Amino acid sequence: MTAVVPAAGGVPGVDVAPPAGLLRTLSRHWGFRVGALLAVMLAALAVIGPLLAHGPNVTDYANQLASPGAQHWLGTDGAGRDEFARTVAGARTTLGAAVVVFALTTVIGITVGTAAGFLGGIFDAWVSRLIDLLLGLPSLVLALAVVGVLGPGFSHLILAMTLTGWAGLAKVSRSYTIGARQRPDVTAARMAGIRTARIFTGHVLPGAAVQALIAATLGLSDTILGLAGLSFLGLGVQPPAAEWGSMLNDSQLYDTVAPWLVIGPGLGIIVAVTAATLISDALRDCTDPSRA
Amino acid sequence: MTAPLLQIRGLAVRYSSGPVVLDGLDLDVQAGECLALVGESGCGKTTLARAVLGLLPRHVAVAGTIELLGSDISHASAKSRRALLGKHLGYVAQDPYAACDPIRTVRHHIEEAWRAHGTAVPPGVIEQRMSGLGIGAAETRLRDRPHQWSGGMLQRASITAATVHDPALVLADEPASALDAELADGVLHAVRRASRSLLLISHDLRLVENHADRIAVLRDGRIVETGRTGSITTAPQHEHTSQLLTAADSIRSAARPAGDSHRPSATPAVVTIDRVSVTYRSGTSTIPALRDASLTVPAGEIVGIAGPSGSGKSTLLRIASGIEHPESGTVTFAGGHASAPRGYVMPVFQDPVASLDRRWPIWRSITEPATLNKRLSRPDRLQLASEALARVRLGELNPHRLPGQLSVGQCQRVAIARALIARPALIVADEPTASLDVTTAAEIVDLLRLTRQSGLAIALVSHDEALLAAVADRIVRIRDGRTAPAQRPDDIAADGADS
Amino acid sequence: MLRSSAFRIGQALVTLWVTSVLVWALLLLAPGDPARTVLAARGVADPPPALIAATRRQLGLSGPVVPRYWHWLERAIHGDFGTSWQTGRPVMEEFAARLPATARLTLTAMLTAVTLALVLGLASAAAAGTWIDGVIRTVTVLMVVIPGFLIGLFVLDILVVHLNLGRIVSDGSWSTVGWPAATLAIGAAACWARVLRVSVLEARSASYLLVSQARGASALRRLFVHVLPNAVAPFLTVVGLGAAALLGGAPIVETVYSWPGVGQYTVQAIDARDLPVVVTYTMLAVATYIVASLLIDLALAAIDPRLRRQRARRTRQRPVRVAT
Repeated sequence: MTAVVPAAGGVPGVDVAPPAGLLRTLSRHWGFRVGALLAVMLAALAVIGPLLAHGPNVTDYANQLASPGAQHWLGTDGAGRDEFARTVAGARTTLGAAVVVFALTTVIGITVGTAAGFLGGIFDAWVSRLIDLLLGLPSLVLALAVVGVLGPGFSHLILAMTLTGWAGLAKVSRSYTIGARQRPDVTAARMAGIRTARIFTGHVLPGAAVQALIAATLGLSDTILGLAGLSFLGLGVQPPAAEWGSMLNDSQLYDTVAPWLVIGPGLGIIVAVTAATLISDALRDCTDPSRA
Repeated sequence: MTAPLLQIRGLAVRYSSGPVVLDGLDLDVQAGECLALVGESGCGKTTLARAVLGLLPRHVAVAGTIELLGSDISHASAKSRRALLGKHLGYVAQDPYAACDPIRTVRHHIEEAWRAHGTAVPPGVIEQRMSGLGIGAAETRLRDRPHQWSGGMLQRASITAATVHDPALVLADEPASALDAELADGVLHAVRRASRSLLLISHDLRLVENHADRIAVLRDGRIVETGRTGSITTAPQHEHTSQLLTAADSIRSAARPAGDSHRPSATPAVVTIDRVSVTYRSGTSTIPALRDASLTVPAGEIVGIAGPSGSGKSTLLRIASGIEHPESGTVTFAGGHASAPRGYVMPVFQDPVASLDRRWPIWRSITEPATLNKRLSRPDRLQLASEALARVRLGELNPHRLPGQLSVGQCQRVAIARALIARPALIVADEPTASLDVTTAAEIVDLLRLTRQSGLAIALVSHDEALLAAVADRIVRIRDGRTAPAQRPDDIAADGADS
Repeated sequence: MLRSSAFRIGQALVTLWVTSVLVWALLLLAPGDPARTVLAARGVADPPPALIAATRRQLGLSGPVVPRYWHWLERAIHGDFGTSWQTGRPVMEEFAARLPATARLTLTAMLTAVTLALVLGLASAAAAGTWIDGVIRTVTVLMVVIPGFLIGLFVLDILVVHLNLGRIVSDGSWSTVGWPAATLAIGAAACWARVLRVSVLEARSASYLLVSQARGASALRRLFVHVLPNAVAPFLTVVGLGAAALLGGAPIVETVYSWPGVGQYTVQAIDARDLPVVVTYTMLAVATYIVASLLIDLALAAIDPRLRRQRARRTRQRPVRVAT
């Protein structure tokens, strides 16, 4: 390229790479490959696991706190329930909740953000103030406040994480939309007379959605840790339902006599967060123009 | 004959990933002269500069000799190189903003020339040199940060920083290309004055014509021709030199297609802008962009809009395209419409790659205007796109490509194809050749001339006076938001350059 | 500069006020009858209606919402945050008693985290591309993915119980703050180290460094005069936000170690549905966070003058994770 061409990367409203190219670049990134592999393994565990194990809520008081063996691969907990089965069930709960939060925050974020960016005016003014406010507050405190006020419970936990998570995605979508409004290709479409709605769905929405999804993926590891952490405090899933955080909480009682109870949920959280972190690191590497 | 100041023999530079950038290059710079190194982008100019400075990245293989004042500097140790740099070798970078640490003051930037060598800063020298380059009252302004200075001024500051020790040789890598073209001459003049000897790198032969004593033409890593400026520009020996000259000339060519000059001005106007005013509000300040500006574009004509930056050219163009409305005055389109009908006006922008949606294959971008009122099937659109591409001489291009896979020149043609599909009455082009190198710019200008023949009108904004003189049927000058009545280029030439 | 500071302070106050409104709005959405819940938490399983009504009056839950809110706000500004539904003692008293322990914990954690982040971040940036960098990056990733409470459990379990390396009793004093602070610091330090590494690498690839080198500047000069000052801004931002979040009570680490601080108290209060405590905690944590962010903003504006005129507050790009 000639020396005088200005760089388009890093400008809001302009995509750094079209999605097909992005996936291809990602697939060559070793961090992404490892992360994706771990994610697939976890997903497989969540799906197939229940077929391999005993029921997670089947109590067996005769067999409390059994150490790992052929019958119970990860031992049993204080009520004689199979720890492996509970770990697998916990995978579905924790990861399922993370996916739900991911989906909800993405949908809300994209909708609110693009609407604010596209419509402008008073609506945009109020929405962006709300977004900045939410982003200016510590998310853990907010989540605690939500759960604290509404009371412990799984749905309240998901609500808390969603309420604290959508603002960042809305901000990203909004700034992309605003940048896109000024873009020359959008101007050309306007001058050609293409209807506003079609310009929005054709030129703006796809890019904004991708930006929001990338941002949501970057926040995935924090979401999983937040869910597990709050459940650990007893504020999420209520017993006897299985969830990694609350299982770790339970294991505290028995740490002297049955330390193996930490393995299942602990490893589960570590693997899940590692997968999310590796994938989001790879995403950041592949979409940041200055690091390409 | 005295020994040359800088003597390069057999310089070869190869990157570890493969490409050979410089391939056995020989070059001499005599003491006291200005040698211009000219070539297209990618030919190795910057690599050469960095090789002389000794600042190539690590994984690069360098062979050959570089001698400055008789001693070989190509294999100098880091310590001796440090002693050289700044004191005997000066460097001016292309982009003045990128050359300065954004969190430090401009004064710091210049004083680094002394501090880097551990010497004290002599008082008053900076101010003296800056006023010598045309920047007075430097005292308070030097406390500003780089982003607060204009490009031209900041480049002069960089030139000062590079020349405070009166180095024997100054290397200037495209010192004017990141700036508005009207400032280019001034900056080149400044850098020549400040240097004892100068190696000036550029992609534009005509630009350096007035400043260089000798010219060396670089192509594919080798020098293909050297000679005195006068002889090279009038009688080039190598065909690449001729190519560069022709490209630079074609957009400045005084030769206009016959039958152009006397067009009856009674052709109906595509758009008439009558005494419009536009003011922009930024924070608490109001900036008048246009004051009682007027413009008439007759059908089938190319109207050029010329003026310094910030004069309101782009605003006037936006009014003409109907996407902005003035606060006062009237805008009338053909048929008496007050606002532009759909597809009546289509744009061509300065940054061709950015003007296409990066995620859309070009067939989709090109045929977008055609989807206005009817639903077109994909095969229909592909067919339409192929025809449109043929019309802009890109018939062989695969319509499924993405803009990122095309060259800048190809993108601009695609943008023009998109504009044409809407069958507009007017094309508004805002600096359509500013991002292109000389050869490509010439091709685009040719294309625009061609499209005009189908009865289309073009409103063209450009800072390049020569381009406008060569291509426009009439030129409207604008300064501080006010327009002067349109003039024909021949009349302007007769008046002399006084605006 | 003064004008933008005043603006930011005003913005902070507005944020605090809106937060209080939002929290109160949440209160209205709370399911169930708070009077019943509190009575249940006190052990009364099936209270008669008279008792419920009395409890409601006693807790200040009767009457229209808006006047109740203003009443609360008025008292809150004067430092009176009501009384705990569990113990009946003033909430501020309870918080004041526990604040020192939390302060000790978070201060120690902050210092540890910043030091650790500087060491790891600068080391891996300096050794970028070599095996040392690889090792440090792997270590920081591990530090990031293992949640604080897991580390805490591990520490308590193995090191304290089995190997007898520390005191199990957490009494909130300086002598036992070591392990809890370290646990709290690990996640934050790793996160900050990664940011520092990236910002140093980016600062190192800036084009003005070439120009500086062409003037004869040594590598050392370029590092200290140009690279580090430019790299520090993003690092400080993250540290500032993280530090403020640390100050938010670090409830999880406090719970794991039974550290008698504000965070642990709030978690217990949530369990007992002691809403005045929850509301107070939220307001105090948010206020601390805002003050700390404000200070960081001002410090950054002093370093990088491009930020001075900016009206937008520096807000977090992604949720700041700490103590999880």
